[in-house]
Parts: sequence; structure tokens; C-alpha cells
Amino acid sequence: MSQPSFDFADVDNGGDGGIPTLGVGELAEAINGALRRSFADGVWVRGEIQGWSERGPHVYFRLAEETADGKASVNVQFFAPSRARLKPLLMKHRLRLADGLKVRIFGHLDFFAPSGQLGLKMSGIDPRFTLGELALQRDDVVRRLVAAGLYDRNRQRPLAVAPLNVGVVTSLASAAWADFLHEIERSGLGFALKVIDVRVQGERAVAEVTAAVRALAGDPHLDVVALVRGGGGRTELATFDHEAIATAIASSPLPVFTGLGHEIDRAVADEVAHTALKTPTACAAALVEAVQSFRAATEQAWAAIAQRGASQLAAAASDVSATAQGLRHRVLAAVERADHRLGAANAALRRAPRMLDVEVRHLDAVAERVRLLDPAVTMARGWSITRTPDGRTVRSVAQLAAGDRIITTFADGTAGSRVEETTP
Amino acid sequence: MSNDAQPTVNGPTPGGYAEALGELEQILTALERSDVDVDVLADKVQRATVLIAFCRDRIGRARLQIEQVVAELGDG
Repeated sequence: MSQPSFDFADVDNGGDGGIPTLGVGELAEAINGALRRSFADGVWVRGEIQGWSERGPHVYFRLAEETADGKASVNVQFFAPSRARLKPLLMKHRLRLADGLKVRIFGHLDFFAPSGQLGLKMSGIDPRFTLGELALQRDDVVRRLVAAGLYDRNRQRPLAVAPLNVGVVTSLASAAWADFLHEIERSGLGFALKVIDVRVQGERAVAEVTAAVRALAGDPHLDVVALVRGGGGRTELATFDHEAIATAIASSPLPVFTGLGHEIDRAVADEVAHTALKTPTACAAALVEAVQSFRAATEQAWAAIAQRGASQLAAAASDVSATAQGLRHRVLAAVERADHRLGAANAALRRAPRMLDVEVRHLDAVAERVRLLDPAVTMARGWSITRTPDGRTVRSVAQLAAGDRIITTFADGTAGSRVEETTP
Repeated sequence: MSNDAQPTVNGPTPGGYAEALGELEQILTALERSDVDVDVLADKVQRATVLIAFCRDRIGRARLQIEQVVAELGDG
């Protein structure tokens, strides 16, 4: 939009050098006339809201911009009728106008004669511009966090198995805190909370939240940090898009849970948090669930240990009885074998007399051989033995001569006789 | 001859059954040679007869003992 040129053609030209002299009122009127002509249809202006000030139903602020030539600003009046008319639009986009917000607004320029100030009477706003600006800012912050390696860092922090010691960053006056506390107390679990009361909106919100997150994150007695806030406009949620808060969360050595009370939007704080929940109640519930699942796991482990113990005992008992059974079988078998051997020995023993019979037969054979050799047996068959009177057995006729006396032995006696002749 | 056998009958008493049987075998081996003197033959036969009686006695005693032991075992 080009700078409009003022046209004073309709002003009385009765002054020095053809330049008219006007009363202040006339000048004001002239200015307003010129403004109306140049900006007959109004004007769209973009800039950042500063010095937001509510006076009764009206609001006054400055719309400012940093330019290459320095700062530029214009006063804006946002009167009650326009506020009422724009309220549905702002609510629809969940925007709440406040300092620091970049906006594109529509209005008519007006020179206010009593104070001599030029102002813009605001009558319209482009919510998409603000949302786009917020998104851009948010994207920038996210990009820088990714580049610094912070974006995923907190998510990688391990959560304590039973996160019972919780540091809470919240506004104690808020419903968010009440909801969070209610959910924690309802669980009946032994949570210990350490709370830092902060402002979650307004100029000091970023600094207070950042400092609180840092302080709790460094507390060695805590397991987890929870950042909770009640519902609010998208523009207030922008506080949690701030790089300082996001950095504090991302670099926290403790896992950070968020419950920023927004069903639709995710703040950068949510993006970098360990776990992001939509509401303070959900945030508390997530912590409760973590502890409960630990408790359940513990109980399950105990049950498993007990079961294992019982089954091992049963197995041991069964081993013992199997061993005893085996022992019994083996003992019985051993006894049976011993009995069998004894039986065999007994049988062998009973066979001993038969061994004697063998001896008897052997002895009978020997006796028969002896009997056959007995000379008495031979002599009974008619054989006799001839001896000389001195008892020598006559084995050859050459031992005898005619006239020799000889004694003949028979089976049943002897006879003496004398040799008459010998024949070789 | 058989009357003269008396001294040899009184030969040393054998130490046991096996010894007696051993002597018997020796006597048989000696007697079964062809050149045995008739007088020696008669003596040896007498001695053998004594040894045989000894052995029979031993067997009889052993049988008696075994039968007693087995009877004591019962029918098991």
C-alpha cells in the first residue's frame, strides 16, 4: 500500500504564499477527511500487539513492527461493539488477543482531535494470519530443537519403574492443579508431590515455567516432572511453544509429562516431552497407571515366584518319591536276585550227595581193579606159588635141582615136596 | 600169604580222602606192572583194601553230614 498523498484542494487558500492557515479543529477535520478519502474502504495492517490495555469494555494497544528503519507503531482502539462482534470468530479459532501476538487486523484510520493522535479503529481480524504466524514460530523452534539434538532427548529418558515422586509445575489457583491432585489422591497410591506454583500465562509465564522445570528436573529425589495447565486459547498455549520452556523440558534429566489442557493443539512442550497428555487429569492418570502397572507387575512376579517355588517343591517331592520308588524296586530286585542265588546254592547243596555217588563209583572201580590183582583170586582158579624152604619164590626151573625141597602154596593151604628131576 | 598182610594193613593212616585215593592210584599203577613180586603183590593188595575201606568210611561220613546240614536248611 503506497503512502497516501494529502489533497488540500478544498481548503480556503487565503494564507501566505498560497498556503492556507487552518485552525486546529479545521486541520483535524482536514486530516480526517483526507484519511477517509485515502482509506475509504479501511486498511489491513499487520504487526505485533503491544501494551494491551483494557479500560472498561474497550481495549487499547499498539500495533508495532520492527523494520529496517527502526520501530514503527500505530495506536489501535478496539471498542466494545467490535470486540463483541469479533468474539465468536476469535473463539472459533481459539485465539485470545494479548501482548506479543502477531496479528493482521482491519480498521479505519481516525485522527482523534482532542489528543491529536492518529489511531486505527479496529473492526476486523484475520485469525489465519495469527495461527500461521504461530505455526511458523513453532516450526522454527522445533527446527532449532531438532538441530540441537534436543527434540527426542527427553523421550529417551527411562521412566522410573514406580514414578511416585512427582515434581509438578502448575498454577496452584487453577482447576488444572485441582484436577491433577484429585486424580492422584483418588488412586490411593503413595505419591509424593513437590509443587512449584507458576503463572502459566502472561509475560512472566515463560520465565517462571522454565525456571520451575529446571529446578524440579535437577531434584535428585524426584522421579518425574509434570507440567500441567488448564484449558485456554491457542494463543495462550503459545507460551508452551516457547523455545525456553521446550529446551528446559527437552534437556531435563527426568522424564517430563505434560497435561496442557488442550484437546486439539499440541504445543512444542508436548512435542519434546517424554509423555504428552491432553489434560491434567490424563497426565495424573498416566502416572497412576505407570505405578499401578509396576504394582501389578510386582504382584505378578511374586505370584510367578510363588508358583515356581510350589512347582519346584512339587517336582522335588515327586523326584524324592520317584527315587524312593526306584530304590524300592531295586531293593526288591536285589533281594529277589539274592533269593534266587540262595535257591541255586541250596539246589547245589542238595546235589552234593550225588557228587559223593561219583566218588563211590570211582572207588568201586578201584576196588575191582585191586580185587582182580589179588593173588588169592588167581590161586582160587588153580594157580599156585612155589617157594624154596627159605621163602624165595621159584620163578625158573633153573633155580632147582633134583632132591631140592620145595613148598607149594595153594589158595587154601601148602604142600611140601622134593624135586625128582628138572627139565629145562 | 593173606595172613602175612597184617603189617602192611597197619601202614600210615592217610591224611584224608584225597591222600588215600592218591596212594591207591599209586598202588594200582605199581601192581599192574607184570614183574611185580607175588609177595609184594599180596601186601599191596592188603594195603589197598585198607585204603578203600578208609575212603568208603569217609564218603559215608560226608554223606551223613551233608544230609544233616540239608535237613537243617529245611525246605526253603
